[in-house]
Amino acid sequence: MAGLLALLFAFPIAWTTLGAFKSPTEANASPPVWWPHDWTTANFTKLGGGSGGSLTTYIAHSVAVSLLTVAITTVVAVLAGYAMAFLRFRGKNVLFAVSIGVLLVPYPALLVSLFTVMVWLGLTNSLLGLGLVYSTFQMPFAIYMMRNSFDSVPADIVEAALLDGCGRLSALWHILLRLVAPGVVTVVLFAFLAAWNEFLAALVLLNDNSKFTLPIALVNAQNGPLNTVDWGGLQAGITVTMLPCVVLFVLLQRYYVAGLVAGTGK
Amino acid sequence: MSVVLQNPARGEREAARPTVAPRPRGGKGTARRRDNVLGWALSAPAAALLGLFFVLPLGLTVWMSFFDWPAFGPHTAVGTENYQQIATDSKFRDAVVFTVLYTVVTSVLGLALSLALALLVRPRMRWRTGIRAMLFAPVTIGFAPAGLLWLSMSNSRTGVLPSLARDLGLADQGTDWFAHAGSALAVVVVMTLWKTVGLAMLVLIIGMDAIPDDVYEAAQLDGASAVSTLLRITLPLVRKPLSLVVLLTVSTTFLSFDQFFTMTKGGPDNRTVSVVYYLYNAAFVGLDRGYAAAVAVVVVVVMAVISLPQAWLQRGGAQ
Repeated sequence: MAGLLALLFAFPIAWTTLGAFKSPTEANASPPVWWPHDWTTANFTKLGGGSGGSLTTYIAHSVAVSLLTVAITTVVAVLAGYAMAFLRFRGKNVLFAVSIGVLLVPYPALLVSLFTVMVWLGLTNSLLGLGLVYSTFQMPFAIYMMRNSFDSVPADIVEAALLDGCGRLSALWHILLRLVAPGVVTVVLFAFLAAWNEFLAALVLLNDNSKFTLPIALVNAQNGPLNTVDWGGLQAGITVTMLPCVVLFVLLQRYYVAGLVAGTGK
Repeated sequence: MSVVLQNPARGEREAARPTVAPRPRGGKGTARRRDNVLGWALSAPAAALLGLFFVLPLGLTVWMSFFDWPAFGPHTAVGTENYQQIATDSKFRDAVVFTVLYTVVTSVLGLALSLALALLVRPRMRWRTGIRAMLFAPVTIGFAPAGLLWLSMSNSRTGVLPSLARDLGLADQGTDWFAHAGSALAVVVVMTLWKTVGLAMLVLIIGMDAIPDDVYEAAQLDGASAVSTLLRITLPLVRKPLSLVVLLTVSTTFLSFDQFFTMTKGGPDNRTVSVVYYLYNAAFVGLDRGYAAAVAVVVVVVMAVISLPQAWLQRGGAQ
């Protein structure tokens, strides 16, 4: 019973992945063909054909935005999390409250004026701008996660590191970072998935085909010329968009669940 | 996912943690000053991000909502005119009604389904880890690709689902599921359930695993039936994760956009326009930024009203 349900849940993923390898005739056949007879990888080079970019360009954009988001989020949250766990400074609680406040304000509601802000900052249509926005919306989870990770480092280790003659920052760099590595992996994983999958902000802030990320490019491919959809090409695009997420999840399940517990077990 | 989930109580750790970090050297005053400076230096990037991309747009949204603010050209103050316009806008009301309907249907079905799945895959069984992973996998996929995936599976000509429905005698050949608001909504709901129940299931499993075994053993000794064990032990004890699941489901569903943009385009006849979709149209299709900002403020307030009682329940009410 459970196994049957699991197969049912996996079916759409398997169907689309198979569809990505069907020849044009089979991909657009009616009624649909279940198992491809002529396997082909041609679909993977077709997406967005003629409309400005190829699938590889869009993959490159999505990878760039995701890596930027991961890098910014991790560095910023490790520093802030360290400060919040070990240092007493004025405004600490305000900063933490503001970062948690991000959770209370639905981000679609901010996009109207965020667009204007990005115009002021000259960051519209920029993958860096998008990465900065994504990082901001990762802050509540990332700071919370890092602060807790630093908190759970045993006090005597922290003390030993500091008395060892290391400065605070070199203690962070040489000793503590290794101890909070699981927390960092969790932050990296969630930041990557969020940036890779995000749709609305990318739709609003990118308006040039040559900058589109994968999800936006997919929608464009689906609105093909003359209402004809190249189903094989679309399924190839969906496949390269979804499979990395599934693979990352399977490989890093432990960190995924750890993040979930941190996010929910408050 | 047969991970043993450790969930150390935050309170205990808080207590064990030294309130003052050990300081290397220097007097108390200088150390405090050093803490202040270093603390701010390390938090500055986070503060900058939050200031520029959260606090500033939040304030600007409220500010813009009192203006006539076209995408191009000068803006003029109009007082509360935008808010009055919202109150009388039947399209906004339609979007709210539709979104509430979608949220209620998805949340109720999703809650029931995730609870059933959690109970089903909690006991030890063959392939448990793999089964849980397969049920959870759709959660990791983005809403936009997931929407397009179900769109292509439901396409009347080439999709596998209409073809199956026809083979089973459930629908006529060539029925376009996206031509009617009801069936279009049904496809979106099924897609949303597929993509979200895994998360709720996992949160519930985590909650159930935290229930000590001896509670169940005691119930068994008392001769409690499976149903009464579920109703009187499991459910009350997973109250906290359960209310969290409700909070998550309701708030994310209420803010849905991707699935409607990719699957129905708000159609047919604008009958599947969600609140966020309406906001998007007002701001970036209608280019009436002041009005859109007012809609955004209303959305923020509504979400706060929806989530604050639940957050309260989550913290205090469920102790």
